[in-house]
Amino acid sequence: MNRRELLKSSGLFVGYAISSATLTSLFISCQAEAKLNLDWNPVFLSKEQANMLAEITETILPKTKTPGAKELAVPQFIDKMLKEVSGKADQTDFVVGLAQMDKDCTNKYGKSFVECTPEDRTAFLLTMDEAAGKFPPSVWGITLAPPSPVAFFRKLKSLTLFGYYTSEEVGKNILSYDPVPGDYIACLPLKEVGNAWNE
Amino acid sequence: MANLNTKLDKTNTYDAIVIGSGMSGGWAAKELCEKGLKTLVLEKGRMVNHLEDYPTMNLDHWEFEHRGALTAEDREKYHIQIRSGFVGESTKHFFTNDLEDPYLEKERFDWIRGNHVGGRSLTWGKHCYRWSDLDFEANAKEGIAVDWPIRYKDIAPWYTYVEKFVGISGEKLGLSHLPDGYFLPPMELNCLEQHFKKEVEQKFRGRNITIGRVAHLTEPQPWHLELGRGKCQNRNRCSRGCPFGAYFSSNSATLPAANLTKNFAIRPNSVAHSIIYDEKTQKATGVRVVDSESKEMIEFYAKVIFCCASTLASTQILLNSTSARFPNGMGNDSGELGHNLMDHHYRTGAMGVYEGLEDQYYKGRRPTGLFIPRFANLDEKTKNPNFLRGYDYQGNGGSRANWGRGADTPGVGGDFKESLFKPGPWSMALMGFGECLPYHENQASLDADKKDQWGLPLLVLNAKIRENELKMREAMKNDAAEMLSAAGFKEVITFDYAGGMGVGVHEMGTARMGRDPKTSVLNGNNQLHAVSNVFVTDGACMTSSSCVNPSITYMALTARAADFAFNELKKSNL
Repeated sequence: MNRRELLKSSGLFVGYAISSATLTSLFISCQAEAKLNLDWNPVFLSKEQANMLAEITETILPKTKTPGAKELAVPQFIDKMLKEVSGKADQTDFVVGLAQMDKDCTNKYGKSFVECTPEDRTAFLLTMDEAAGKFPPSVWGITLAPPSPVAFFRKLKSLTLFGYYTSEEVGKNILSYDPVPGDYIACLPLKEVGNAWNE
Repeated sequence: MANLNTKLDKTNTYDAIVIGSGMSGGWAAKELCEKGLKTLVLEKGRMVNHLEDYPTMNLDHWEFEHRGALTAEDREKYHIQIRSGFVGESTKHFFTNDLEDPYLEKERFDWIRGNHVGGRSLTWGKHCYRWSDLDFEANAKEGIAVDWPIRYKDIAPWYTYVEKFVGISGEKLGLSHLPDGYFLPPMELNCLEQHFKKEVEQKFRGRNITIGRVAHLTEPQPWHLELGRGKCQNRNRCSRGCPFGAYFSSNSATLPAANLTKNFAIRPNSVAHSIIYDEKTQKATGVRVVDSESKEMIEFYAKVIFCCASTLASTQILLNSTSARFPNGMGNDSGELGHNLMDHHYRTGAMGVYEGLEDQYYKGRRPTGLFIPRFANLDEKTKNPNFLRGYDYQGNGGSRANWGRGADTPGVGGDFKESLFKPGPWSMALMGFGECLPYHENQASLDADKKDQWGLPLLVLNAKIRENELKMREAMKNDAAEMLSAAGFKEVITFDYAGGMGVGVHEMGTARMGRDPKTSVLNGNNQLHAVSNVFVTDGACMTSSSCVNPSITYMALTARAADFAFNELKKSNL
């Protein structure tokens, strides 16, 4: 059962009183029980790897009052990008990185990532986030430093954000969408726009 | 709008042939056709008709299979083009396939090309700045290379002429070293840029902050509207082709104007191989072309030939145009053909974050940023003893970070996700663009053995920036950081990562203009000293490089040369 159906059938869809955090943990633990309940076929990763990736992306960008990474098919997007966009070396790095990450997680919590509680998953990712070096500076999309290896988690997080924030749901319905702005207004109060522009 | 005419004359004979359909070739075609000359444009690559051949112009991120990213296969196919940083899923069809069209790098040289109708005029940066006598006199005053055969007064009316047709938005500043032109209303500076302008102009005398002077129609004039061009809608998706024809390109402006005359024909997929020389008349009689699809060699004939294939491609053709009279390439009596290759060196400067103005934002994606005109080595007072010439800056302007900041912002989880829906902090980057001196040693030549699939010897590029440029980069970097700090920016960091020469995509020189046939290839009218009916009006003609974007100067020189050629033809001098 995918999570959207679960939401509807459990009647929680109108349960505004339940905080988004409660909802998130409810569904994540639900997913963890059905450990390999992957409702899509990965094109590059194994089902186990894809399942772990899905849980990582959902921990980075969980469902709140707005959709989570899984609902917007971010794991599927990353899987496709790994197959078609990543070069051979990056593909290998990714698979190795994912395995190493699960090993580190098991060493720390005695459980694989998908078996961890939402709290432990979050804490673990925050540790990785802190340890991973930043991207080099860039202007106009041009990287302004010599090529150097980017930490696995930095790449993974970046891909997750890319898949999520460039999706139609986020671009059109959450960010401020204005494909043909017409006039440029150089200064205006932020409150008149609301969320950031889709750009 | 009618598609460009591809119906050719049965005898392959024209009044004029233009090699190349980019920035310079488009202008040559328009001017020659409008003067009544039957003109054939030969384009190496495929046809690109305005609007109908812009497949990505209206697509959003999610409508691209890879959301704009290049596949591994594409990165191989465009392995040199991607060094520019400008090639993505939305624009790749306007860049050259490096696997099919190779060249050789003795030193790393980033040759960023667009071989199709319109050339790089589809993907250019659109900044347009006039040169001044500070630029035209520099070589002579400093004893560098050779003197330009022209001065500002020779080109000024032609700047005005092309600016009107192109449509350039910009602010007049009254600076003698960055002359004002015919401008449409300037685009506006946003809150942070206005703050930056105030602080810098107050704290650094003689420095100016202005909005980029760019080829976008902010207030289309009747002659723009007549060609079907409209007002800029601030989408900032220009390099995919503009559905409004709001930025200037050959495809939106010069080629349609030429097409209207009925004197115009264009032949895509035509690789110019060499210019045909007649020993008896000592003139060129036409151009040999290899059809890129059939590989058949075809000759076209004309009274006058404009070589506008782009700096390096034009020189490649001339070097390959050998005869008993010109064993080392057409017009190469001086031996300078291929030498003095220049570019603008950039990718150095600084960036910083601005704390404040959190309740302010903007609407629209303005397709340009701010511009800081050159302020060093203008006179004795502004002299920097460490280097010759100068630099300017283009800013990415002040903007607020989008969700992309999240990759490097610590955090995961629901609140983190929601925070990235909001605009992030304001920041600004200043990118320096510096003049490159013309060094004889910086050279393009032909390989003795290796040929491309059309039978042209491969171009060998051997050029690099040298001590003067490296010293200038120090100042470019430090001045940028100093201005940002003075304007209250925090976390100011500098960068300096030049990449290869060529990455400025302003390659210039290799068939320089000059007064003396012994030391230059072209005269003051862009005419080969040695072959009076061959004109080279693209970047190959440049004698020095200034620090401002060169396209508008190529356009003015091309219109000027076309006028000269037409008059000479009338007087039977060609």
